[in-house]
Amino acid sequence: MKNNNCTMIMALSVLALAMFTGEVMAAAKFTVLPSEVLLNGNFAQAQLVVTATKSGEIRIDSADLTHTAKYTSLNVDVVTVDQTGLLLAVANGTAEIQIRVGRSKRIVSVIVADITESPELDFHYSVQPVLSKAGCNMGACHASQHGKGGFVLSVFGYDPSKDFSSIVKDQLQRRVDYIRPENSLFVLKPTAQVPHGGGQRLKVGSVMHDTLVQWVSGGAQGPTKDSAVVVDLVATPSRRVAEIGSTQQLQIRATYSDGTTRDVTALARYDSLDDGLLKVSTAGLVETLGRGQAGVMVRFEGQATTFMVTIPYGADVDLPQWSEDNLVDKFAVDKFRELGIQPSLLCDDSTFIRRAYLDAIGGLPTPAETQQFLDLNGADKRTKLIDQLLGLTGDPAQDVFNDRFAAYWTLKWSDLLRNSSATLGEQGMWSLHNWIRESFRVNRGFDEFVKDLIQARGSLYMNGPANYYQINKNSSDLTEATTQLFMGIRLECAKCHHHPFESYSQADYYGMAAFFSRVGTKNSEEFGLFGRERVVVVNPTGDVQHPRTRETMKPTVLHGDVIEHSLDRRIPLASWLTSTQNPWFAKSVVNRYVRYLMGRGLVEPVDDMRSTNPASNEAMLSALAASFEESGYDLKQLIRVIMTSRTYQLGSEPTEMNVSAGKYYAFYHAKRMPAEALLDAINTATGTATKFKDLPPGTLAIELPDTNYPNYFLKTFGKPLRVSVCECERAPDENLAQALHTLNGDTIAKKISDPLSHLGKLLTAEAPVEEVIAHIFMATLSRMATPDEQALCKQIVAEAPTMKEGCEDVLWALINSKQFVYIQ
Amino acid sequence: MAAEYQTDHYCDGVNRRSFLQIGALGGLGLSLSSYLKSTAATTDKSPTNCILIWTRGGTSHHDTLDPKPDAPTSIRGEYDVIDTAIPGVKFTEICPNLAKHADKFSVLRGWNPRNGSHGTADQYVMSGRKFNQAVAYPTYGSVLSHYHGFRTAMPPFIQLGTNVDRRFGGGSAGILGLEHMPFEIDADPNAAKFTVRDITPPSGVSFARIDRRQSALARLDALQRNTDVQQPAFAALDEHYKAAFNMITAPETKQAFDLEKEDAKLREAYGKNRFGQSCLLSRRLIEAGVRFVTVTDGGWDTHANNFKGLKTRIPPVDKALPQLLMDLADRGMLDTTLVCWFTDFGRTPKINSASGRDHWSTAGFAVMAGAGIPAGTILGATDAEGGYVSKDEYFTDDIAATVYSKLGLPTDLIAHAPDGRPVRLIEGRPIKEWM
Repeated sequence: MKNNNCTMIMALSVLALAMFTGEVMAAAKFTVLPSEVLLNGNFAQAQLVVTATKSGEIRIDSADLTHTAKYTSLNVDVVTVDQTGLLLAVANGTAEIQIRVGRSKRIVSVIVADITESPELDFHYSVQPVLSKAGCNMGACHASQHGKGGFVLSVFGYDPSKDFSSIVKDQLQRRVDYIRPENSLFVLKPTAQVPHGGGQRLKVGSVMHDTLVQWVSGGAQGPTKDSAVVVDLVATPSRRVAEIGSTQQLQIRATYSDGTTRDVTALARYDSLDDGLLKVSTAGLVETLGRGQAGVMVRFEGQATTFMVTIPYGADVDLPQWSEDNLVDKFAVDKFRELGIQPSLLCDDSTFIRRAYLDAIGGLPTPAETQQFLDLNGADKRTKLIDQLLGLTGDPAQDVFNDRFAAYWTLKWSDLLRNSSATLGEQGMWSLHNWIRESFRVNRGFDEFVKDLIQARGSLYMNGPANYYQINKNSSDLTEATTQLFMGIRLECAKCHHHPFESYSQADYYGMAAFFSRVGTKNSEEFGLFGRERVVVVNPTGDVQHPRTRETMKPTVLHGDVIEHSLDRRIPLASWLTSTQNPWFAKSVVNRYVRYLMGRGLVEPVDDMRSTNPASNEAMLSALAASFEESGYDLKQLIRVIMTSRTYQLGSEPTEMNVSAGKYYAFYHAKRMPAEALLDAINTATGTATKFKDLPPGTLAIELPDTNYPNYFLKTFGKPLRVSVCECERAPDENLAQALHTLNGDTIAKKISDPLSHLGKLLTAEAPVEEVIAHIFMATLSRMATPDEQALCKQIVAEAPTMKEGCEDVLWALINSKQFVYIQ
Repeated sequence: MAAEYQTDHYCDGVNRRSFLQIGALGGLGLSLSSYLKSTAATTDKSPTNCILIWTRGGTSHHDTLDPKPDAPTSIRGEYDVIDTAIPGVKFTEICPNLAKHADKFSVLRGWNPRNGSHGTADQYVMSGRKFNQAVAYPTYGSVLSHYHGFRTAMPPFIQLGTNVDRRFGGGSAGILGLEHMPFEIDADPNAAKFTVRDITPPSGVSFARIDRRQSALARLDALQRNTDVQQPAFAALDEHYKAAFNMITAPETKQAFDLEKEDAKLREAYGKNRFGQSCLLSRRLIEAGVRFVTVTDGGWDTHANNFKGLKTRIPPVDKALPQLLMDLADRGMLDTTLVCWFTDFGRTPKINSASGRDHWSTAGFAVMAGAGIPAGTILGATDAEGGYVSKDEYFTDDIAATVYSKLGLPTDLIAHAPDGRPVRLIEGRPIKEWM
């Protein structure tokens, strides 16, 4: 079945190409890149890319002809070429390749040099890429903890000398055969000439196979310390605009630290970053499958790059109501135009007020607040509401008392900073909580917030941010938490091996860790009143070592300079981290807030920003980051910019046309309420309350300072235990236990049937059924019932044995409806 | 055009790109697809289920199934030994029923726990992986739920009681995500009014009312859904609601929890206490389509008054475990039900000044039965003081591999952490004598 599908798709694409190229061939205008090829050394390969040209130039939407062109080597004893345009060096000399499209021809000249009779191949240069390309050193295969079948390699080949000894020395040298190199076990296995658990990874006679054999013939040279390493990777082309069903052959060039370059198209690894849009072959042939923008991640020897392709949705879009005054809108519109996306319509006022309340302050509006807003007139009423929620009206009477904003965002950052009495004790937890809450109350600049954390010292109980050093106890934890939280970078991979999708190495990791090598905690004598008190201190000495090279690492910012400080290394780190010198800080914060408000980050996952995970709208990300920097890292202003945009205020109903364009914000992403907000919302809607242990009555769930409360609802709905800095700890997905609990659990059952609830009081007062239904809609969904809904609900009540049961069932149904549990 | 499209696979056959996609979609992609997969009525390749008895705290091996009658009193302890159904094998006198039915299960005396801390023990013994801060390894039941999904309306993984130390992620789904957590039942099945949270309707709600509510919800939803195109997240909610209603109203659910339906004599035979009735309930749950049931029991951390304590702790297990095996055999379920009894670790050979035994990390016992485990065998041995394994040593990793193999899970199974990293779940080798 799978094969059939595959064949069909291939057949279709060939057909599409044939139709398309028919037109081009008449004109037969095309360019071949590169125009000259230099092939250095045995097994050197190079990829030609043939592109149709219009008026002599290659444009972003030019068609790729690489796989339709015909290739002939005019000197097969020097170089050979296959029908995908891949050249292979044979012997030293010069040669010509003829490329034919239709009746037109082009010639590419080739020079082959440095081929020797029996070369001694370099392990780094020749063997490692083969092991990587064939997948031998993947984490799940020979690079797993104990390897496979006793054969252990380092993950992605980060430790070549270990890999070398695994191949050549381990197991009494049974893996290499110097007499008959082609019979070496490590060659027989991946070619499946003997049974291999990982299946066939190489073909006998392939260039990769011959490389391994020749390496053994040449004496199986080990890695040398001064081997050149790859420092840059370039994909040609790097961007394209295409139609569904088109193909593009990539050509990849690597630059080495000694300045040489090499075509590594055949050795690089390719991954589609969106399976719905693109697929890519092991040879680097990309095929487009769906509409939108997506990339191919290309990796080779610790470096990575991306090829981006745009497949527009439609040609023309109609955006009369959009202005470019707002940054978000400006770049959203650019993207809509670029991709031909028609966004959904603006949401209505009741949807908006509910959404704005839940997003900005984590709670529902009361029926009175809703009614007041709906009754207002004026084009700026939404902006006014946003200012009210954020405390930006300028009127002290309104702004000062807006504490729910601080509570809600304190919850968010308490999760990320992992504030918990389990690690900090009650006092430490309150100390950190109060500091965070105060910061959001006064809207401190986010740069100051981060600086305070990074530079914190002294008593855990008296200085809230000092607890950062109790939560993250060693230089590794601190490095990983700091880079993930404030740079959106997941550096932990580079602790043990080179980052698989980025250029970050162990040196980068331990260079950052060196900033934290001199900070520690010790038991306090002075502040020991409450017991278990500790203080954060800076030691005069302390360094980290590179685990492999044993080199003492200097404090070095990621991809940047060494910054030393005689008193406290954290001081320059904090300054750099929160400065515009740090290219990641503003972007990572902005990206998080876009996700919190618009349901999806420009980069997803939000804390995994890297060159191989491009933003869905780079320009918007950069512009928002720049504006955030200019505002002095003012979070309220950032939230205001996003919320006042038309993009944010779109309806949550996708259309047939734009349903797959969610990542460009063509509609508002409905998102499930977080556990705490949901519990508060149920309480607000029913007019009941939840009492939490050791906290005064009336405390909202979003105000909880700690993690672990004996509350089944919060636990089931995934209130995080704050053990991870990953945003993913708060699972966004529904699960069965949650569905069971809201549908059939006692939490909602009790609140619904409580005689003192809103509904209970209305029933006691014998209010007419219409009034009760109207109230239920206003309280739960912040809107009036439509006539149809009113009729249906009256019918539901009529079908029930009593009015009480019927009304309770209506309330129950609305609380369980998507319009309630989702922020729409 | 002979383009060879990416056919790279991980060693387990999982497409390499699927993890990137999961990374990109966050939890949703994973949970939805696996849920849909699990609910689809596909052929069930794993007929074997599991009942795991977890005695939290560390049950003493000296005073139960691995006594040392010839050791000095300071090690031997207060109990005498008795003969068992296996010639030459002795248990202590507090396990008379287990001794009598020793031909119905197998005891591993060669277990080396390699861990002496609570919490990490729950994590290690119930996942087969030593605690690792960076990776939350999933417990067996969660893996089964992840790999095989639902069999009927019943959740695939249920835990009875809450005697699992979760501080280090013990008995939890870990990287597999919340949806594969055990469905926990905290209520006492021995109680006169045994109800199950969220499954038994709350008071005042009849099944007729549930039907009315379900219809009200469906009608409102239909009315409020104004377009055919809806947000992708909503499809998942619909599926979960469907499964939840199915579970609440399905006859097998009502049946499974209704212990009153059970023969009074049989209930008595299991022991009219929480542990005994939990064992009985676990059998009913397996019958109703649950794949994995953990029966948890606490109070085994006998640092003080070891001998007095065990005299009350052991009898319910002594009574219920053999009864469970006989009951399963009578119903023809034993071949497809793996029954395990695991605990944190062993306890010290030397009795301490509080007449107790402390944590011991190099010896202990494990019991398995059913699913082709050779009954009536003793595997491995400890030295004269019960301190170290002297014959056929096996580690927790190997026990895990045995459980995986018996349950139809590949021992080289790979799952993906939320950050996309591929994680091999276990590394041990199945215990060959038990395969």
